Amino acid sequence: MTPTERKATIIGVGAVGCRLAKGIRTKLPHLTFRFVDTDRYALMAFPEEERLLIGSSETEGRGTGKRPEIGRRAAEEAEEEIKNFIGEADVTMITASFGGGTGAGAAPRVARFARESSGTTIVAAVDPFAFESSAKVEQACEALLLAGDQAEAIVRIPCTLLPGEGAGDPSFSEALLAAETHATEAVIALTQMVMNPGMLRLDFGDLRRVLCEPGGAVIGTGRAGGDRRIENAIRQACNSSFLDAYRIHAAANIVLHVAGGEMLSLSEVQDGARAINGISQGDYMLSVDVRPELSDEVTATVLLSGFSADSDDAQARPVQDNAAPPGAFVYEGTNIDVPTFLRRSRNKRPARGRSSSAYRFGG
Amino acid sequence: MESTQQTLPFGSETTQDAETPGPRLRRSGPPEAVAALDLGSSKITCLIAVAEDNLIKVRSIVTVPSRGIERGDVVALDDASNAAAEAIAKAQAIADVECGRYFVGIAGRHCQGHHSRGSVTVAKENHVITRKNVAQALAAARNISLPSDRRIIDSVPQSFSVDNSSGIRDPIGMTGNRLDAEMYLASESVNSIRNVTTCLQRIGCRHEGLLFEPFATAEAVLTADEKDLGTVQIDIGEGTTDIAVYYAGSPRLARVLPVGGGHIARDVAVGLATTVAAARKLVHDHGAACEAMLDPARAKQEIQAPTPDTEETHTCHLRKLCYIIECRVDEILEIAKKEVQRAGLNGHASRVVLTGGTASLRGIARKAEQVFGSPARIGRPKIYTDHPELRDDPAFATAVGLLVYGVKMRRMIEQKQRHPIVSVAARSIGWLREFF
Repeated sequence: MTPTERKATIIGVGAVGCRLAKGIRTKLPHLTFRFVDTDRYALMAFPEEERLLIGSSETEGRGTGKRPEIGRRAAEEAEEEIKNFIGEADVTMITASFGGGTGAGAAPRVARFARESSGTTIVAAVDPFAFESSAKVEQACEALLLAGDQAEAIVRIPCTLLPGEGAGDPSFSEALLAAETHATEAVIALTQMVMNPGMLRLDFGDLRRVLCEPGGAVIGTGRAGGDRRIENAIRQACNSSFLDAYRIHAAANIVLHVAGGEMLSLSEVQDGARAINGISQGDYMLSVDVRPELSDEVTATVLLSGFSADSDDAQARPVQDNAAPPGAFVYEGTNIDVPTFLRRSRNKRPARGRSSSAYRFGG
Repeated sequence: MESTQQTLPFGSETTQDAETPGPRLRRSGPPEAVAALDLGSSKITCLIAVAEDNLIKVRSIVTVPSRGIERGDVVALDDASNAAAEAIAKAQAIADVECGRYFVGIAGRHCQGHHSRGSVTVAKENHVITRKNVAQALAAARNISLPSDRRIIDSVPQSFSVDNSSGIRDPIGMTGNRLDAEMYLASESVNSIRNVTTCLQRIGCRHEGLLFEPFATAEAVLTADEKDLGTVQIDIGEGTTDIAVYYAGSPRLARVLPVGGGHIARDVAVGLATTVAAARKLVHDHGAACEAMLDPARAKQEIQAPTPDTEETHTCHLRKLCYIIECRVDEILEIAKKEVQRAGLNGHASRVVLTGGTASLRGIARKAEQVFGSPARIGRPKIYTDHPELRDDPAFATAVGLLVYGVKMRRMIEQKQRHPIVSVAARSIGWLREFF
């Protein structure tokens, strides 16, 4: 950790929250991690000095049974213990699933305790799956409202199951793994944006303004390599089926964080900015980071907030290069019927296996 | 384009597949007429042949410009019927054979491939797997749940498992408690099927079988080795691109994408500000799918493109033409590659075989090698003819495949009549006959 970097603590609350925090640790091991749960056996997977069992008087360390009120009582009873346990930090990130008992019940309380001792507290909340009961969705909404009062900012990680895109019906475990990977990557990206705004710096105040918009923020991530990698990464981030419930073009604020290896070129950054500009008419901010470990890949993180009131019931619209008429062949959001050379001439990076002369277009 | 008296070696490597149980192609008896109709987006091809012993003697090949068919689907019944009638009439006149039933290819944009598995319990008396068990397992595999507007048009057995032993090609006579059959099925929308049958009915013809074109094309262009080792077959037609992946002797993936050579002509027409017909001619005469293949001097060569609505022409560089073509071909191949990767079959893309009318484009095999990173070749149907313009033309791969595949199907039905078991492939055709 460099001296200028802020001190950050990641707190996983509940089973899913702890699993996400554990996933983040594999990528960002230098941060401080804390794991809070009501399930004694789930906590055994974490180092003793980093784990805290709450609510053992009521649950005897067996979990809440998906009842948020038990999670809430458990956190309130252990207030002092939690405060001492999480310590002080410039930024505290709380990860939790608001579909679970401990996550929905305890996470908003933990956020309040953290806020009292931290500079900034952000809750990264994983939504319940789309197929889960309406009671659970309601429970998540209540928890979000509560957490919104307690934490400085909330980032929702929509987590519907991935549909089988051309590859048939994915197995449940594959879809679950994809959802978990998406959530972990989203939180890692968010943490990196907050901790290390990058070379093209984004003011921390700006980020807070976006995160603290009423209604919270949603986040999508994409990663791509090869030809038109930046465009593909942004398209992945925006077209992610996890963001299905949101109308991207209705977002008032967009933050695009692009990270790439040392070969990240200026024209690519410009292309990225153009791509995001084409998606939404909202206010967008750009942050660029160079991370040598990414080598020939780029990652794009899109943070969206300030949705207009009607956006909740509207369906996400895929990002398309061109509006496709009925019957057109649209593949991965691109209208294939539009001449390829017209689409590609917007991005003149040489593709694999081509001579660069192929791109000196102009007869 | 018309031709007479070509001979297709029926027992060639192309058709002698060591694959899942099926009928032998050899048959002794009097010669029988067999006809195939390929309803393509750019041309309608009618082939009439006589199957005798292990040879198919092609009596006539006729192609007429297609009308009323777009992206593999009938979009105007009258136009399509008239064009098909024209092709059939010419072919019958040349072959001097009256033919009322045709093997017709089907591969519209609504076609889908499905993996399926069916299981049966083997009789407890001796646990020996019989033909009946195999037929039951295959029938169970075919019995998948589909939306009411879709029908299975073709089914190909992949392999069998007996208890815990998998990868068995012919389980008859083996012993076990349970038999599983793996199949690859192709389904099509009922409306598309009805449109094709109505089109034939209007001209007083019937189909002898509706065959899934990617499977038929494979019969004409893939060798037994290629089917076994793992090959991606890409049939780039005018309106559609059919992708099929073969591995271990049977299909593992089939997709129909509504993009094809017609897009290349349209792109060139837009890019060079000319007519689609002129663009098609420029692509044919000067086009290349891999600009890197052009030598620098040739790349600067100037070509003349007609200006629409005038009799004038304007000058363009050959490089520009090739760039436009390369972009589109590259995209089609990239999409094909993505589909193969999505199906988790990229490990089986050890070879690429390109066929269809667009496969005649110069440099397309090299482009495919760049995209897939595997050796690529042009798949030409094995047909011998006195007419050099027809010989080994990949544009006829599907039509020839329909003929070969159709005869195979006919043999299956004959075998079904000889053996009191239910042949699954024969059932496909039988069922379709009952349905329409």
